[in-house]
Amino acid sequence: MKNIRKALLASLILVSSFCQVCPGEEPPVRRFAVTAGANLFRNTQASYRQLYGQSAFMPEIKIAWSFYHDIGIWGGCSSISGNGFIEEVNEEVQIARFFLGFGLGYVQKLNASMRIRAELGLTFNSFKEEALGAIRKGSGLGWKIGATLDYFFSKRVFVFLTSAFSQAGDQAQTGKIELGGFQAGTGLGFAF
Amino acid sequence: MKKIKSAALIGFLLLVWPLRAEIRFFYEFTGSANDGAEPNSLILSGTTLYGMTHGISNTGSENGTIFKIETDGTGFTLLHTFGGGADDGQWPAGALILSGTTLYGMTMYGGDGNKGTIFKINTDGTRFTLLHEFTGGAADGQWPAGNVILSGSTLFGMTMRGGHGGDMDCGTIFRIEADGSGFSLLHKFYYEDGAYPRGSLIISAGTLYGMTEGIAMKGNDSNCGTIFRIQANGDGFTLLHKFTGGASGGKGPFGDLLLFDSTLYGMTRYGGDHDLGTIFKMQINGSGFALLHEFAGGPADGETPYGSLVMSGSTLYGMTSRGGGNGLGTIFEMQNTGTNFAPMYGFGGYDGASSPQGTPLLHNSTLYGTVGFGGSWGNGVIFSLPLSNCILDLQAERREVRAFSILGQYAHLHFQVEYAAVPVAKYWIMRREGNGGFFLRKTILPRELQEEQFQLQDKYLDRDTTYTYRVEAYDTSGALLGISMEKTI
Repeated sequence: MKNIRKALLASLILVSSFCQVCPGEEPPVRRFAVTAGANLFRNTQASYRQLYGQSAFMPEIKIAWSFYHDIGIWGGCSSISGNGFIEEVNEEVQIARFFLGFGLGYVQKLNASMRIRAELGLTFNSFKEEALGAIRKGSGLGWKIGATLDYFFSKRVFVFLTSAFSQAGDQAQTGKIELGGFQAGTGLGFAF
Repeated sequence: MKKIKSAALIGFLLLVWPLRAEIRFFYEFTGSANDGAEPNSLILSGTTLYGMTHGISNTGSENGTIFKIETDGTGFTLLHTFGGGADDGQWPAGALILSGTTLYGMTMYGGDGNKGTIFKINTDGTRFTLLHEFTGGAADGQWPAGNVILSGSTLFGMTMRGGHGGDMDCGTIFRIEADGSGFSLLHKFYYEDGAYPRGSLIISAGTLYGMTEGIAMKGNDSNCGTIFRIQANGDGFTLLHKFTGGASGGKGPFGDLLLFDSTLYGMTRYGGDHDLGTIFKMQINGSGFALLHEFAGGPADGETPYGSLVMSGSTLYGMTSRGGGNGLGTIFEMQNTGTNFAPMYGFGGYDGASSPQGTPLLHNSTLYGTVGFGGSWGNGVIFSLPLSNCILDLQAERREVRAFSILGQYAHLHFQVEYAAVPVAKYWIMRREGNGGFFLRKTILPRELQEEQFQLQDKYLDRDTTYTYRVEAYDTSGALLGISMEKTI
């Protein structure tokens, strides 16, 4: 119990010290930001996860522009790929997926070095699956909502933790398929 | 010179008798209350054979039994022992028929008036029920000798006597619902329209076809027999043919007709050049009667057939009660054109199994049948006779498999080598798409089989196309040994 308390206290001190990197200074107003992140993506559809794995690595690039006070727009793209195996026919299958998104964002400063971003937008998810002797391409339009916590460790550079949920679907031979899912990750950003 | 003739004769007999068939006697009736004696014709459901015996020899009973047995000879089970008397049948006639899990049959005796019964029983031996007890006379039939047939929910059959009573009792055609209700006589044979039907009916497009053993002429039983047709509602009784006996006609049919492509095939016990029986054909409208074969007896032919024919492709198979190498009956084959008649097996070589009087059952290139006499106990045997050098059983099933967005279909094939008289060098999996021709899909070597079985997936299928598969077996010289049944998915 004592060890837990010590750990919690140390964590609190550590976080507080990060938050005091630029004591007394307001972060400069930066209208543009570019981020590169690394996420884990978990598809909503269970049968997808059973075939291609519970989660997949998802690199993501985003840009954002604040056009009015704390409100701005954002756009980004990401991709995943997966390999699976169908025992019934003893065959490997693979899928490549690409995500495009854009929408509105809202930024709320928490203190001199931290801010939180909330995003809402549209997403266009496309895929190309090669399986069972066939290739199928498909896509779906849906929505995406997310939240990101930024931490500036210099005037222009920040790291962030992010999570988002998206929903988009398509009609395939197997019925309605779900292309959205939950993603969480971290990354590096540059504001200017 | 005599030695040369003897050697030539022995050589001829070795070549002809037995020819290629390797018969297997897989059950011998003991004649006890545990199985019965004198089995008659069989029917098959899946891998289970159902049949009846005429009696129990150990007790001198002529009541009979109903039994089932697997085609591999295992699992003999007694389903029912007839008790005779007012509440049960006695001396089963003809063969059973199967609908779902219910067997239907007839006994020649038993029932209230001891004039025969129609019964049903579940395939597990439960719920034996008498559907009808014949009373004879003008209003009913008497002594059925064949089996019933089922069309929809209606059973049709014939009795040897009944319909008029007294000397004019020439037999009847009847119908009855499968639940035992609605018994009615469709026709009463009388004088020149036939008499004493021994076999069973067949039905095609609402018309029943059958034969009578004789024609009861007043004061003159000419007894050559007839072929007739009648609508299932009892209308339109028509004599299609009157057997004339002698060298150019048959006489005294006992069995059933076989219908194939508007042609009726059948056998008579007598008639023909040697008066030892015939095989005939005739169009369903009564035209074109022709003798396809006139039995001559002797080691290379049969004589006196009692049962019916079965057909596979263009080949007819049947049994005779006499003739053959031992004079104790044969199994024979013949093209439906009347050519290539050949005895396949001569009874009498195995513990005296002799005098088959039933009809063989053809399934998957194997003939199954019974012989009422002989075997170790002298009470009859059940046999199987492969019709080719390699018998293959193929099962094919269309299966679906899912990826994320793609739905695939493939054929799951399973084949088993049930019998191979000579070593097989290769198996060819043949496939036909739609109405196209067969082409080789895969070659399987014998070493790839496990316990004479092989499974494979044929990937992937078009969901709108039908596929037909078959397996062919070849020997090292490339000669075709056997072909499985075709399976369409």
